[in-house]
Amino acid sequence: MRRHLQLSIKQLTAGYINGQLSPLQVAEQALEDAVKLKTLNALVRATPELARQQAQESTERYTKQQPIGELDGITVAIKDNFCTANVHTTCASRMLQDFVPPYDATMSARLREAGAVLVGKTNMDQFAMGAGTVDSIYGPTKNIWSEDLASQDNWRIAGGSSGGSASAVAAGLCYAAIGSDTGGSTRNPASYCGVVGLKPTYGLCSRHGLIPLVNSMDVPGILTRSVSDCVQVLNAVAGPDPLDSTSVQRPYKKLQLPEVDQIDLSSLRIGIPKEYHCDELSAEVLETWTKVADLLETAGAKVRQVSLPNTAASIFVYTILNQCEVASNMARYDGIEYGHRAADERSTEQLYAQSRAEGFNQVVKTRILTGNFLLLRKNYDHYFEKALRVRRLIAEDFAKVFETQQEADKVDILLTPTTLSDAPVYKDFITLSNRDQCAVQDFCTQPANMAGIPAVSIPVRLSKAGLPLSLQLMSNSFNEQLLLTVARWIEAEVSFDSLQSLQRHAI
Amino acid sequence: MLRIVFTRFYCKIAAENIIKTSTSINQKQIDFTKLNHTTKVPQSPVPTAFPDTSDNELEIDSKTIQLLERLSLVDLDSEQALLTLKSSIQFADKIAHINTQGVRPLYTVLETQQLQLRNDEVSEGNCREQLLKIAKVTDEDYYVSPPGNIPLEQ
Repeated sequence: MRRHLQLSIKQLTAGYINGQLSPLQVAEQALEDAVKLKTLNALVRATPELARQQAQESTERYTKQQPIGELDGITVAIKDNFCTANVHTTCASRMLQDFVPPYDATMSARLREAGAVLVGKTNMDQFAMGAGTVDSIYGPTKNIWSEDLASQDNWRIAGGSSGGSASAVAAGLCYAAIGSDTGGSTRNPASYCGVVGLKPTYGLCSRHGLIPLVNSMDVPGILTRSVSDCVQVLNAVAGPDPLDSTSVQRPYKKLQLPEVDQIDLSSLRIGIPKEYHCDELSAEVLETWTKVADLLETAGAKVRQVSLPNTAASIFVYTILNQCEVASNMARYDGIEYGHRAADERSTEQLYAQSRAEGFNQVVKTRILTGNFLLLRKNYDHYFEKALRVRRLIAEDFAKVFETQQEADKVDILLTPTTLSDAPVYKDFITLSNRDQCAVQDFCTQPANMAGIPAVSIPVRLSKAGLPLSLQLMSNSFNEQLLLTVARWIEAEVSFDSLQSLQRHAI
Repeated sequence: MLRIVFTRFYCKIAAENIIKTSTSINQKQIDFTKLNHTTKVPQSPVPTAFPDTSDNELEIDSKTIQLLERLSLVDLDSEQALLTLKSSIQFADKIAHINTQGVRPLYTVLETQQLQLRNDEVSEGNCREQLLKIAKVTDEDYYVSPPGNIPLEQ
């Protein structure tokens, strides 16, 4: 294993500054490893030329002792639904297979400006519609923690839809990856792959250039091997963006987490929302959840049970709103200005229909059709508006526990499972329909998207099968500082080794 | 070749030096079955009551299907696709019984914030070439499409 992978981003850049390491070496090794670990299918496209050029420039900056940012020379990967100027951006779909955007998403641009080195674009479910990274035209992504990576279909899924990003970080192909999170798409694969996955507050990170799935819920996500690395990346990419009217205009104050031994939990109030114990929750996740709550309480935090009564309704609301916004968002793909264009030239409508028939998979098509049904004039109030009303109830559940006037009832942080089990075996997972895959696996994650609040998944321990088990923390909007401070405390307490799987496979 | 071998070797030693001083936290052994407090985590699932809607009457006539296909510009091309559509609609029926009287729809979580408006000034442009380049078929400065005003064959 590459020893430098164990370094944090801060330590790595310190190594660059004192000349012990160079961005060029680190980038070369990442590119080499990406080839060695091709079986994971984490990257849909490696960008070796760009990486070498960026690493060369970064190396020169360090030689001149003039690094441009805290991510200078750090290898990163970006999910293939973020536009990257002059680099293919496909959404893992046939529709955008040849799409080369002329511009950078704000996330891509800010990483570039911070000096990061792009090693590649990562695999995902088509248009981010999934929870497994199994529905990609480039094939599924494997989880590096699998017992057997070589078998036909007996390996573990990486989760999704940002499975390629999680897999790349877990395998050490990069120090950080950008994912997107609409209903859990960053936290779910982070949970399965044993890495940290942050869904920031809606509006904190710009969506400009993120190919939209559900505009009212989409946020860029961050995947790293540690909480402090996550903070480094967040500090580089967060903040208002004039190109995204839904990015919140208040200036971003860079987070600075206290050292672990300086963290005081005695005034912290932790809520355990009871409704997150649903039928499908595995015994191992329950035990992990129970123990970490106990660790927090032992350290002085006030831990108590709370109720978020509309939790179980959330997955239905999420599914409705997702399909409705998808129906509208996917209308842009007609084959004329960009994207796949069919050969059918009989009429404009015919060309549109044929291009879409060829460009979308069955999951995308069904969501469009269902969304349009739910939006029909006769159905609009019954389904769409109804879902939006229940969405308010779900958001109010969170507001009640975070913002109540009754100090005694208030909590600062909610602790829940992320996924309901460790990573499923591929062949079992694909027997479920796409909707059931998502409805089960997104149970604990999508409520945060409904309310726009920040949430982070952190790995805690290994299951009996040797796979990561993770928990989720949620907090009130723009409370990332506290959210990640608590995450960092748990991280230190459980000292999970994100790179352990590399030793297992002797990579 | 020699040079590459040398840089690897160098890199390994350097990395070890940094690791030794900073990240040598040993994995603690935590007993996950032992608790210090009465747990606040519910040890059995919290029951939820959602109606079984899988047998809900659902008539989707051929007129509706044609309308959906025309709106979606996507074919509902198989019996399986129709079944998935039906079951998705029944899935959406699950929230019908929830009391939402007097509850306003939540369109955006930023509803309390002022939407930022920029001045009405040109800030971007001159990108015609770049944009036309990513279309499959163009003619001079135009996108090209086949004849319009012909209804979709269904």
